[in-house]
Amino acid sequence: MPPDVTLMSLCSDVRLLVKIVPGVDLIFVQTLDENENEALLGSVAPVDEEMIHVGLLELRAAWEEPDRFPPHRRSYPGILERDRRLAFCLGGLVQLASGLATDRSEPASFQQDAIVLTKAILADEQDEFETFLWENHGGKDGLQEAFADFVLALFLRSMAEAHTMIPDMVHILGWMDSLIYGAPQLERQIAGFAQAVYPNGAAGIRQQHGSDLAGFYVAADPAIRAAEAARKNRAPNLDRATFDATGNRSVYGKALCRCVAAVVRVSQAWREGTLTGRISEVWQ
Amino acid sequence: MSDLLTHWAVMDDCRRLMPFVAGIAPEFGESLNRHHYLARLGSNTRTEGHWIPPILRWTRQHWDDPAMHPEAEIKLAFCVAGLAHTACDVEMKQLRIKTVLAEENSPDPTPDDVERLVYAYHDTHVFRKVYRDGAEEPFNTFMMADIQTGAGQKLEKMAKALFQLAMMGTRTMVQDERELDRDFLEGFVQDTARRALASPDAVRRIIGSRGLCRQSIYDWLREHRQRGGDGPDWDTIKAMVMPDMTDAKTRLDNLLLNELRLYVDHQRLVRVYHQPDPAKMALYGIETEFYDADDPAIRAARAVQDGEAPPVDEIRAAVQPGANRSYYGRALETAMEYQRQGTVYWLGKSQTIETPNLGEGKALQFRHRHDTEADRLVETRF
Repeated sequence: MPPDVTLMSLCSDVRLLVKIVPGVDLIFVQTLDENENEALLGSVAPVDEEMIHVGLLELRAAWEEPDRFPPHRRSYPGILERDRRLAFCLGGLVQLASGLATDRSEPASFQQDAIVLTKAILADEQDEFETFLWENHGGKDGLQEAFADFVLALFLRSMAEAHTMIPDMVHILGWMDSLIYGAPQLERQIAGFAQAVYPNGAAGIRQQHGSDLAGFYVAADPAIRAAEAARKNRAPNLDRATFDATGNRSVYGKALCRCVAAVVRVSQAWREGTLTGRISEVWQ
Repeated sequence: MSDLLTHWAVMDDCRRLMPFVAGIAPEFGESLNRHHYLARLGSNTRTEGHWIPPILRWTRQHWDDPAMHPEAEIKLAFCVAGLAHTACDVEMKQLRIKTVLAEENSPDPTPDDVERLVYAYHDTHVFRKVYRDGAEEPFNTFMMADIQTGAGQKLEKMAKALFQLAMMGTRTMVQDERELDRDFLEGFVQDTARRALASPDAVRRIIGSRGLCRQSIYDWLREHRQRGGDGPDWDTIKAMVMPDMTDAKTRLDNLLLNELRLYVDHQRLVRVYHQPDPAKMALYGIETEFYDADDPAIRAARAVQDGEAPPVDEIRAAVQPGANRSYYGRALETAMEYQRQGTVYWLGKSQTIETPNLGEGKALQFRHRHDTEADRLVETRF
C-alpha cells in the first residue's frame, strides 16, 4: 500500500507553497486552493503518467470553454467540472513526482504515515488534539483506542456526506463483494494505523519510531521549514536552496522539492503551450 | 431521499422489531442481525428497485448450499436493509415536502439549503434518540464532535479522500453481465440503445449515472446497424458505449466518472446537534410530526433496545398500518410491510415485490422485468 497520508500531506503542502513559490500560474494556485478535496483524491488515486499528461493536455486545450466538461450525474453548484479535473490532475502530478507512491497490492506499512502524521500534521498541536481525543472519548481507554474511534468516525462522516452510494450495475454482485470484503479490511487498516501512531497506548507518540526511519522527515530541511511556515500561515523565507534537492536530506524534504519543481515546470509548459512529449520530461 | 442517519436508524429499528412481526421470514431478521454492520451499506445504496429483486433471487437460489454461506446471508441482509431504505424514503419524502414549504413560508426563512437543513434536524434527532448520542454502534461520540483543531480538520479532509478512493476501487469496468438479471438486462439494453440512437449524449449520461451493460448495448447497436438501421455517427456511439480502457483519456474519464461526490456538509449536522434552534425544532415538527416518542412503534423499538421484552401482540399492534402518527413511526410500519412483501418474493410466491405507499395509498412495484413506468417512478421518487 502506498503511504497515503504522506502523499496527501505532500499535496496539501504543495497547495500552500504554490501560493508563494514564484513561477506558478494563478490558474493552478486558485484551482488547487478551491478544490482541495479533488487534489487530495488525485494524490492517492490510481493514476499513471499517461493519464495525467492526457488530462492536462485536454484541459489546456479547453480551458477557455467551461462547457466542454459538463457535470456528471447531477450538478454541484459552484464546482466547475473543468476545475475539479485540473485539481485532480495536479494532485496526481504530485503523487507521481513524489517518487513515494508504491503498488497498492503491497502490504501496508504505516510507519512513514505515522511519522508524517505526528510531525507534519499534529506537530505542535499534538497536546490540543490529544485533549480533544480524551474529552470526546469520555476518558475511557487509551489514546490508541480513542484515535481509532476518531478515524472510524471520520469515515462514517464521509459516508454521510456522500448521502448514498451508486452501485455498479455492470457487475452488481462483484460490487457488493468489493464492499463486503473491503469494509473489514478498512477496519484493520484503521486499527493498524492507530497502532503505528500510538504504539504505546496512552504513553503517547514521542518515544516511538525505529532509527531506520529517523531520516524520513527532518524539520531542519529547508523545504520542510518552508512548508511548516506555510502551514502556520506565515511567509517563509525562500531562496534558491529551499527546494534544491541537494540541500534537503530527508525523504519527505526531497519529495517536496520534486513535487514543487514538477508543478512549477508543468505550470510553465501550460502557459507556454509546450505540454508535449512525456509529462515526466516536462517536470524533471 | 432522506439523509444517512435516518435511513440507518429505520434499518436498526427494523432489526429490533422484525423478529416479533408475523409474515417476515426469520432468515431476514437473522441475517440482518448477524451482518448489520455490512448491511448498512445496503441501506445507503441507490437504485434499490434495480438490484434488490435479482440479488434476492440469487440468495434464494444459493441458500441451501452451505458453501455459499455466509455470503448469501450477507447479501440477504444487504437487501433487507435496502427494503428498509425504500420504506424510509417513501415516508420521509412526504414529510420533506410539507416541512420545506413550512420553512419557505415562515416569516424568517433560512438562507441555508432548506432541504439539507431539515434533514440535518432529522438526522441529529435520531442520533440522539436512536443512537443515544453515539453510545450505540456503529457510531461513537466523535460522529458529531466539533473538530476545532487544525490537525483534526486536516485529518477529516484526508479521510474524505481516502473514503472516495475506497469507493472508486469497488467499481469495475468489467464487461461481464452474467450476474445480471436477464429480464432486466434485455429491457434496459433495448431502452438504452434506442435512446442512444436518438441522442449519443444520452448514452454518456445513462452509462455515467447508472453504471452499465456496455457489452450488451454495443451488441444491440451493432446488430441494429447490420440490419441496416440508421442512427448517428457510429464511431461516436461506439467510443461512448465501448471505451477502450487501454486509452489513457478513457481511464482518466472513468476514474472521474466513478468518483463518489460528497455533497452533504457534515458540519451542518455538527452545528445543529450542538445548537439546535428551538424555533426550527417546532417548525419542522421534530418531536411531533417527525419522531413522536409516544408512537407505539417507536416505543416498542426503544423498549427492545433497552433489553425489555414487550408482549409480542403489543409489538405487532404497534406496527399495524395506521398505528403511528409520526413519519418515523410510519416508516417503521411501512418497513415491516416491505419486509413482508420481500419475504413473499423471496419465497417465490410472487413475481414482483409490492411496496405500497401506506401513507397515500399509492402502490409502487419493484419489477424484475424492466418497466419504464416503474423505472421512472423509482427514478423520481428516490
